[in-house]
Amino acid sequence: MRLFLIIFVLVLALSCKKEPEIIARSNNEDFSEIFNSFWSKVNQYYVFWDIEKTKWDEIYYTYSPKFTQLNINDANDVKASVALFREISKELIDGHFLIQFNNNLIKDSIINPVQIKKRLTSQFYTQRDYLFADTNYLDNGFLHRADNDFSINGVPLLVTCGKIKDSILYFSCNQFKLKKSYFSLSTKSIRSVVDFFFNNVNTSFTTFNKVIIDVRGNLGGDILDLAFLFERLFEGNQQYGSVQYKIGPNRFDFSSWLPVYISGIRAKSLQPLKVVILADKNSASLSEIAIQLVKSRKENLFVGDTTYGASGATFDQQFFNSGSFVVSNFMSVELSATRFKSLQGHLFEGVGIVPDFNITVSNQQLALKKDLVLEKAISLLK
Amino acid sequence: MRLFLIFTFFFFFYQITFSQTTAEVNFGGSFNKNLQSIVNSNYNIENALSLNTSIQINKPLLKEWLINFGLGFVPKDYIYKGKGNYSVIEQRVSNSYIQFNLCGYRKIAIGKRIVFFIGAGGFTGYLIARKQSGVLPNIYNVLNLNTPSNSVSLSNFSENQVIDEKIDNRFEIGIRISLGVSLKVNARGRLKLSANYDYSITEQEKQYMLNQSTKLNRTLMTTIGYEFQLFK
Repeated sequence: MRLFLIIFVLVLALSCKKEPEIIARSNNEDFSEIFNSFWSKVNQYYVFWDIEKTKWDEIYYTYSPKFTQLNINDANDVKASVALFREISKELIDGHFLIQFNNNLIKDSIINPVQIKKRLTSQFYTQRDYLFADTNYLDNGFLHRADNDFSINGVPLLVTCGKIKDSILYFSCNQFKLKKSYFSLSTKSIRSVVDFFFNNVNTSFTTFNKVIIDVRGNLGGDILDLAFLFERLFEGNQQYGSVQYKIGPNRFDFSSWLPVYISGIRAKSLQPLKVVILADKNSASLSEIAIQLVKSRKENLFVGDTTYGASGATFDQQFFNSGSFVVSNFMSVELSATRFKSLQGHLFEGVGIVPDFNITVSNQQLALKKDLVLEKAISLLK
Repeated sequence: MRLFLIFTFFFFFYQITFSQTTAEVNFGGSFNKNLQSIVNSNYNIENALSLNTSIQINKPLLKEWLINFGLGFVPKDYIYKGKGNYSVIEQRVSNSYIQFNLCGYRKIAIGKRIVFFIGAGGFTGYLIARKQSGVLPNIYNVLNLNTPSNSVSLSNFSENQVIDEKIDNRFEIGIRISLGVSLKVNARGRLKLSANYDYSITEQEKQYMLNQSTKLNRTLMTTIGYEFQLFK
């Protein structure tokens, strides 16, 4: 009996861990608790630790004492906390990583480390107005609508569709809220433009077999738009990549890679469509998934600039052990909840997708109504 | 003389080592619980049932005591199961071990045919394979219904996983408590029913991160087997 007790005590001793247990509380009353909640939730819900350079354990030991010294009731300390959160997250590669603060003192502070890094590079450019130049290439009768009900940073959903030399169908959108706008009862709905596109890529008889999809400057949006817009461009089931979720609590508790498919509705008897997709450095998230989708058929091409590099989808932990979260009453953190891999097996988070034809266009050229990227796409479809 | 000594040595060695030794072939079910210290509130971690098999060797030491050692194939599975509206989500993690056990048993005979056993000892397992299977919503497989809403399809999957030496703990060590009963069915053999409870003291994963969730197996194995005499 004594021997059994000794063994039992030894077992318990072996089972004990020496590392600190960092608890995410539902109510955070001081900066120490806020930091612990933030750190432990990123620790659990972040999906790119395998390709991440940030040493997250070291972050805890370095910054925990700094946050402990801050006073939540001191306005200067509250403002100082933003700088600390910025330092902590500066090397994270998740293109969707975004911190917004609920505290009134720092409500205007937004931390978007990938965006900050990109702004510091010489190749960076802000959102460009391609439409001004591109209307120069469209035949008369093109359609353009703006829906203010779906705006990002004050810019409404902009959708354009038209013909180029009566042989190429051109479609552009600056975000993927197409289906929501299409089915909204608002007079601003973009339905007429989308219907124009749908009618001209008819699934049962050939009208156009050359299409340009322009997602330059498109920051992504609603995943429902993938099937809504693209199902007409494909015949039957087409795999266009794989997705992986995080199921368990530890950093590498991923699911298997699940193949993802589009269920095309275009008749197989028709001549296949050739699609060229245009994107730039500001094409992110669902735009990049759309590129993978278009590129899943080897005849299709991608023209433009290397994309932003934000491959995942964002949502909170309803389905999986990953994604966005809030630290009560203080901050909300947006994270990718999924990992997307191309058909070739590339994970392009933080890297972007390299185009088949790397063509850039300057603001000066656009001001002169010259779009070299669109010109290249047109030449490839001739 | 030398030959005689060698013969004598091997004779006694054989007598001590193999005499009255029995072997068992067992099959049964393993009911595994995986203890995790961090659990997402949208999930349950459910216990899972799988099939095990083993070969055991029993060597009597004294009249009422025996020592047992064996080698088995023991899957230790568990299931992440979504709660409520997400109950369709399921991922089964199947960890398969080749497991060696060493136990001491006390025999209690009831009449001439029935013998009860109670024992304790240890085991060590070596992780040989991992598989993940189940059903997950595949958010990119959206079906367009031509209505404002869409339907997210579900993906079934079943895939062997690569065991990562940097993360996975190949070896599992633990304590076994065991109960059994055997019934003499003929001159050479006995039918044996056993229940083993394996209490792992080692983590399934190496310590590679702060705030790492524990992953500890607790496995109840019930087996039915046939025990027969190897050496008289």
